[in-house]
Amino acid sequence: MLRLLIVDDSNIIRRRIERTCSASKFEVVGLASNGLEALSMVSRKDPHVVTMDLTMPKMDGIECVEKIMKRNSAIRILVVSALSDIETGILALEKGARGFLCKPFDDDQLKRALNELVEGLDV
Amino acid sequence: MSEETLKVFIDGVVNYFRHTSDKDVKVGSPYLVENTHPTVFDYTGIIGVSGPYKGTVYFTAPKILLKHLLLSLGEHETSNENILDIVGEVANTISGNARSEFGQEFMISVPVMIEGPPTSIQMPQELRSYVIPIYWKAYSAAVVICLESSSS
Amino acid sequence: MLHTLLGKYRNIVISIALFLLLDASVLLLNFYISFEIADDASGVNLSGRQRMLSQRMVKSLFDIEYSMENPIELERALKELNLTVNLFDTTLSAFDQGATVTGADGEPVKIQQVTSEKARVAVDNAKVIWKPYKVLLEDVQSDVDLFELGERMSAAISYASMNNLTLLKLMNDLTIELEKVASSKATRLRIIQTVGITLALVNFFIIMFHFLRQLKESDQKVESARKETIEILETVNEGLFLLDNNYVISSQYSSVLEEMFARKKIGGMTLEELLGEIVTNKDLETSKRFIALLFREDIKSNLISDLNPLRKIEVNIADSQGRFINKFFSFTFERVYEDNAIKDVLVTVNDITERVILERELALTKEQSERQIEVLTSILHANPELLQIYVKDVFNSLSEVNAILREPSKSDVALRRKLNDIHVFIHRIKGEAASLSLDSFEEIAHEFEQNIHEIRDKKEIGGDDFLPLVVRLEKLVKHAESVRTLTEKLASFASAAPSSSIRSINDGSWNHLDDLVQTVSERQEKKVSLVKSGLSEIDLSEELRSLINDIAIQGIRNSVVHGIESPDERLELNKGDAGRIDIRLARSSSSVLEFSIKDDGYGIDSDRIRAAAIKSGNWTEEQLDGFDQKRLVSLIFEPGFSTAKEHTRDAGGGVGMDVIKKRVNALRGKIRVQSRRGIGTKISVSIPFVESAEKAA
Repeated sequence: MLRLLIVDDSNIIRRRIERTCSASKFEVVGLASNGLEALSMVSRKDPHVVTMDLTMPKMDGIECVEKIMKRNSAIRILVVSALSDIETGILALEKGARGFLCKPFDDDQLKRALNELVEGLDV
Repeated sequence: MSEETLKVFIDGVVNYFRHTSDKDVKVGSPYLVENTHPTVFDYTGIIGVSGPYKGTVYFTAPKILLKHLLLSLGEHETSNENILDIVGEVANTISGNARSEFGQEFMISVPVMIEGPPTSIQMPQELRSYVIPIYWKAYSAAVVICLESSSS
Repeated sequence: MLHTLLGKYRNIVISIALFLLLDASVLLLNFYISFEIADDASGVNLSGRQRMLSQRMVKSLFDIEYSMENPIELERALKELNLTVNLFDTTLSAFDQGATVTGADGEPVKIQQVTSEKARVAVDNAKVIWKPYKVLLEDVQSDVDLFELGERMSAAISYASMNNLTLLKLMNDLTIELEKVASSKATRLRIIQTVGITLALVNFFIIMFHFLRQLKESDQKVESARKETIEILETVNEGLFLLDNNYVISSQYSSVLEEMFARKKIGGMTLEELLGEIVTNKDLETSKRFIALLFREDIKSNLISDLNPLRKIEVNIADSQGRFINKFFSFTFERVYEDNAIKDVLVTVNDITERVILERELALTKEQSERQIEVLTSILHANPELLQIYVKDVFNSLSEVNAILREPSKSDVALRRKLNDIHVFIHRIKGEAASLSLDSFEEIAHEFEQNIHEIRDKKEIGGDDFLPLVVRLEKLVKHAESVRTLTEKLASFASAAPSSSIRSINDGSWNHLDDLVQTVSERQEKKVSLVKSGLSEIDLSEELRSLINDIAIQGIRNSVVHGIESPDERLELNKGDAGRIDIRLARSSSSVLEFSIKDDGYGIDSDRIRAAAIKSGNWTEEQLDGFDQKRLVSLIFEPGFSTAKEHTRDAGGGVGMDVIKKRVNALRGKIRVQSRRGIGTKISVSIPFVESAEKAA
């Protein structure tokens, strides 16, 4: 099982990702609603994969991606964000995220994106 | 279209004439013309504009004005070629000024010079152009601006 | 890498190795045989020396015999014999067994045991002869007295003279045989060399033939592949090119790319050079960052396609006329791998202009209809007849304003005069808009007026100070156009369905005429009351109603503007401050309709008509001098004699008196104007009236 951490300030999105992933090879090990929470969960739960919103209170996604990468650059981060700002999305990938999923998404798109993201990852 | 935008294009021309030996250049009161009847003199230098506004801006002048302009710049050879050159120069000044004023938002094309009748300048027929007369010595030329907002 | 190289070129590598091996072995053999031949040559020399030594031994024997008397000579001769015997003996045994001996030059020389049959026989026979010979010769050398020596000498000499020739012959045989062997080896060497070189040549030709053919074949394959690629690139209607990680475009690209970008020789350009002038810097920078992500191995390309900033991008390509052609391109990016590494990015460019324009048009149509609804709600409350008049009025005023702007003027004074002239028009547009509650017009006109005030306040005015005015002017024209479009549309609805609510405003009450009187009189700062009679009592055809409506509007405007005096003037004339307009519709007989519009104003001012006629340029002063009062008044029905042109403050809003006259004439009606200075004006129209079914209603 791959440990998955879900980071999003929207409760609905968090629950949706959790619901979509729990039936597959992922084990959801944490739900964070901002960057700070996410960082502490990364330390405690040691996830393989993180889904990351970009616009969040307290600490935004860009900063969070940067800090996670500093702690463990092997963690694979999928940015899940609205497409209002392509540049921010690109910035997140430049900081070390591995993929981008545009909101709104359907369950299939999410599953496909996550599967692609973890391709070649050994547990 | 704002008056500030119009002014940027006119300033280019006025600046150009201010650098001649006869600095006395006057801007006439601007007016509108239907594009079905464009204002064109003997020679015209056209630049294309794109960005928040798009369309055409051109400087048009009678041959006699351009000949005097050449002379005032110390050029005694008033051949057709030189006249086309000087029209291009003025248009270049307009586009240069516009580039520096509008910065990255706008894209300004390299000027194209034409000689002769208005049929060669194509502009949207349903639109109007702003005509700003330029008086220099005893002659008049014009800056013609036909821009439409890109958002509409 | 090496493996693949070997794989591709295995045959040629093996062949070349074989070639080298062959050459090397020929060379080695050559060396070996050459050494052997050198050995043989020294063997031949030494066996030749044996011949000589055998003779020298005989000579020494005789030398000894002659030197018996002289002990010094004897000793020398004995020593020489000793040397000769030793040399012969060691050399012979060397030929027999193989050993190193002293050569002619005193250096040691290695002698191989002789193997060839003839040489063997010669050596063996020589050995047989030599063995007793050697004993006899050694005896001679032993330290004995002269007598004994003489005894031994005669034994040795008799053996020598008996066997010397045989020994010489044997040594000769050996020499000849050794020479023969050596020469046969040399022959063999030549054969081997010839064969080796021949083989090498054959190998070489095989390589040449085989690989040239292979090369040619693969060249052909490459060429045909290249041709195919070029064909594809020439015919495909998408822009295709490869981009490396320095953003440099590949030398091969689809030819439609040049057309799309209106550029030549795109190969080798950077992305920046290609896009720099046609997209904004920001888009270019974002695109470069996006492409950099594509070259990162750790990122899945499928997972970033949403971030492609060029998926739908507006580009501006300058054409030969200097105009910017607006297009929409869609770029897609695919990684190109070589040996499992991302080598390039394949870029596909599609022109999606048509699709986008279609989308835009749809959106625009939607937006336009929304805007129209907005305009509609802003003018809906206004009386449609009045609105039409007003819009017409606005257009006329605006074209006047533009004409004023257009007049050449450079001086401050001239420009100030223009400003005042323009202000009159704009102020009226604003006032009328206010009275009709047309907020949108009022707002723009107000801005316009504000601009005028601002310019006026300047110490010195230049032409460029007028820029805000011309901007507002265009805004007003545009707005008036959209309102006109809308009112025309509404009118067409109305004529299609005469009972529509908008039209019905006119149908019954004719109240819009009251509105008009109020509007125009307010604007003219006059007091006017309108009295209508008979309008609603007679059923009129659509045609007649429209005509009467137009005459009424035109008449009211003329009366309020030109006829009725200002309240002050009226009071001075003892007329009461409010003027009065009477509109009457009646049937004078069963078949004639009488319509009249009468005011109690100043009356028609023939001087002003005269002045306007002169100004119009259609009549000369001489002509006008010949006109009587009635003829002069009738000029108001002449085409081109518009009150709008005559009095700028009172831009003609109606359809024009000339048009009205034509329409009346068309119905075989008559139009009459009566005017008395100081008393008022009356316009009467009589029209033949055909009974219609409507009468019954």
